[in-house]
Amino acid sequence: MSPQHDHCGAGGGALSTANVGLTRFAVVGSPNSGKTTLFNALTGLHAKTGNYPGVTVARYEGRTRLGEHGTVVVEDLPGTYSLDPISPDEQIVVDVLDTDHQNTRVDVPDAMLVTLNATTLRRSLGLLAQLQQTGLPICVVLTFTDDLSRRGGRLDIPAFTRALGVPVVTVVAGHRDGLADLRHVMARFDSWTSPVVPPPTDPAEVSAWVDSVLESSGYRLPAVDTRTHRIDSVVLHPVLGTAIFLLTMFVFFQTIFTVAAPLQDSVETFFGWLGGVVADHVHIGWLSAFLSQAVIGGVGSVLVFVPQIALLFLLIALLEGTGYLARAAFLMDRVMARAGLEGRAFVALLSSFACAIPGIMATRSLPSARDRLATMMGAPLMTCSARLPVYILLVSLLLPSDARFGLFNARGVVMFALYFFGALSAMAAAAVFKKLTARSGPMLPFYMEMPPYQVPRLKTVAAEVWTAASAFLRKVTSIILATTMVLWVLLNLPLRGEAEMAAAGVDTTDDAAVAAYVIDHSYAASVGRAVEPVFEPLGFDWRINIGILSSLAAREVFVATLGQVAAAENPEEPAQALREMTVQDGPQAGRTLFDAPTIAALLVFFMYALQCMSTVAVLRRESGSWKWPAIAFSYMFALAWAMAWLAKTVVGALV
Amino acid sequence: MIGIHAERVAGDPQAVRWVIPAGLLGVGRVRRAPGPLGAMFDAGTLTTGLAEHGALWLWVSAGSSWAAHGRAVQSALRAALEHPEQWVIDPAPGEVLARVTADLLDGSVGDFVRSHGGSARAELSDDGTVAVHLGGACEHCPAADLTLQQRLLGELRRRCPDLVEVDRGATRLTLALGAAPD
Amino acid sequence: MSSVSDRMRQREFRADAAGTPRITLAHLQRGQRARVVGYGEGIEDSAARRLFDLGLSPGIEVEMVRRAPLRDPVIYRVGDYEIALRREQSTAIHVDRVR
Repeated sequence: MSPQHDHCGAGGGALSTANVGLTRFAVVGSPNSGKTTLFNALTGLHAKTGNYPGVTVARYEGRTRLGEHGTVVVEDLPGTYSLDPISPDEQIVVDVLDTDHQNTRVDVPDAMLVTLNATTLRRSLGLLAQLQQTGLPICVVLTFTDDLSRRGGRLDIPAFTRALGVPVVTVVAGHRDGLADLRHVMARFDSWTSPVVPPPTDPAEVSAWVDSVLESSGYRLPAVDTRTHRIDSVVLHPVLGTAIFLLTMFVFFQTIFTVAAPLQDSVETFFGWLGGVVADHVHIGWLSAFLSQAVIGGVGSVLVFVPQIALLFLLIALLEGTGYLARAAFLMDRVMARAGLEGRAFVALLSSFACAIPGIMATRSLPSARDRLATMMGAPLMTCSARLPVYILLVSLLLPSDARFGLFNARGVVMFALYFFGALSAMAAAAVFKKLTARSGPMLPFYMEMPPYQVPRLKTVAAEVWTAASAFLRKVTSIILATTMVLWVLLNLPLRGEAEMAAAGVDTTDDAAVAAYVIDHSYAASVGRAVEPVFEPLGFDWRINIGILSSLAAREVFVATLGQVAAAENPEEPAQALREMTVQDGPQAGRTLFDAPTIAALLVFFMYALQCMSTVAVLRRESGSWKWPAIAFSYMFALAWAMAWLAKTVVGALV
Repeated sequence: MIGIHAERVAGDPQAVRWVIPAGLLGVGRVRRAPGPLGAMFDAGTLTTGLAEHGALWLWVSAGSSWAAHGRAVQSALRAALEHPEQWVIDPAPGEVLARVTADLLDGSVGDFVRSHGGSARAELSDDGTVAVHLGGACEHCPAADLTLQQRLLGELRRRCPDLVEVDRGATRLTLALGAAPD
Repeated sequence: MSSVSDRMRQREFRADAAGTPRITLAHLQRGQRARVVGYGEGIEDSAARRLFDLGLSPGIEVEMVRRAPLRDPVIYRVGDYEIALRREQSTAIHVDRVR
């Protein structure tokens, strides 16, 4: 599930102080009732997201204009099957609709829009019966009526309206008319009819009430969706289905590497050209260096990823829009159950291959709060695209391009191993966290609806990809840009005078030597040396240390940092400079810095460490507090250090 | 479990049309009902009950409201319907037909007529027949006959399977339930 | 609103303990249909409530549609939609076969 909303928000009465005082509508309904599509259509993707106070439940609030009747607030409540809460999500719905005002955490809405899926009315009406006990004005929004008629079902809507006693508006996704009607109806919410006698509350009586309502509305059950059925007999076939699934995964991964490559090359070329333009036209030395290294280098290193990430978001949005992801979750459920998770967690972890941020947000599709948390704690261990440049750089330092491991290209094998063990570690971490949170709530029974296959609406898919990609861009660019700029400053200050350098034996006419001296004695270097005790057992020196510290903001910065340091020593051949670097002082002086054990340690360190402030921010938002991101950061740092040391020792013994 | 649900009656806040399983009770005026429902009649909370083929009209007394007694009536009615043989219903075909026709003319059929500039009214005669008159723009409308025929009759027949057409004109229809009066 | 939840808490769904061994949803083969009778003792209240709210209420007809390649979960058709359940849940739902 791709992130669909812009980010902001603090918990509390209203999500945004600007919304206080406006009329509030809550959209309520079961999952798969078209609720979120309706919410998006009404609020137009400008919704604010946040968390309900103190819980791992996402909150969405937006506004919509009702013609001349002004602006109102619309809140998308978590999908719920019943007002008998068995999960924090459903407890939220109960709390929000608490007209007895026993909860003070969130505002009670002024009216409700209840989405009912016309193809699953028998079940959906049970929820409506419960909602009608709250006494709040209700308008039923009937969805999927096109699906109903396509599958041979029938419903007499005026009779249905009379039987329910509340206004009923039909809305078909993608058609504007229904929305206009709905807005007209919303404008008059204080004159909505209510049932003259509320439906019964006893479950057996409610079932009978539902039967009566559907009977007098001439409801004819839609036939089995034969199209879906036929597709599923192939897609979920034990042999064919597994093959199709593996093929889909293969295509997915090929996209990460192969398909995006030409696009990435063009972006790189563009930035190379831009760097050249700056060098030619900006003659102020430090400004030129600043622009080309910090700004263009920094921004460029992020933008190079956009084609890849956008493509991945696109694939995921398409798979989800067709309904295939539910099938993938179904096929993978048994495997995920080994880690104490469920099939839908697979989808969240899959998204994390692009970037942990959408992966963590995809955990919203998991009904169990415990599952959500466990998956969130494991997701950052999945090999995300940001690790790729680091892996590529290090692996190329480690192995020549033609090295072979048996039949296979040695570099390829190492990359595969990194991805594989990343995924394995993610599952293991999730399993551990699932066990650790055993006391925090009842075990939710597993159930998953299999929605019918649909042709994904291109506009929706495009909108999802755009929102996800732009959110990623905005967040990451600001952090990476800020970090590379700060880093550049720290690497190039304090400025050294000629006399001082001459006294240290540096040839002041040699630009490279000057640059190297400045970096060696910069603020950044002091910080790098200060943390040496921590990283020395892993074989890292102060240069790698600065790289790691800066990569805590975002992993890509590591490559940019090493690039700056190497380019200072050898502007023509920075890669060569890296190969030739030696440890400068201390007990290991003289050793090649990037030797096999150190590279192995570095690779493993990057595999496990949580080095992405954006991920920390998303963890904070999705889990509702700082506790969990702090735990994630600490455990991953400790794990990274330990595993890196292990790698160094093992490789050191082998080599 | 017997399924019932309540529908509002336009223009009459003391009345509720309870949709019940079709054919369960006879058609006519309720004289006696079993259980707590009967008690509510006895106590005067419910004043009248009129049974159609697939629904039961109940009127609550002028001093009370459905907000106060709705839930109680709902459970009492459900319980009472478990014993249809204990109900006593006096045949009142004319009254029931008049009530159903009025309901339709207040609702969907009447809306259609009025949207075209016409008017419709129903009259209960002493012989138990109901005469429906179309007026206004309908008087000169070539489709008036069709309107009466398809819309009104069609809807009426669905709700009153015993419907009998006694007489028909261009803008006038006379109907009865059950056997036509002599 | 809390009053609604309180009213809900008086619900009772357990299958009448008649002592007769019943077949469960887990026993159904592909294409077989059955009517839900009640829930067994093997699941928690919250799980039973959730299954009821999902539409697996007594009297409803279900059909076993297909299994996952690894034997679990299983897709059942309940009324007008399909739902996947694990063995853990399906063994707790008692049914009567329908021809």
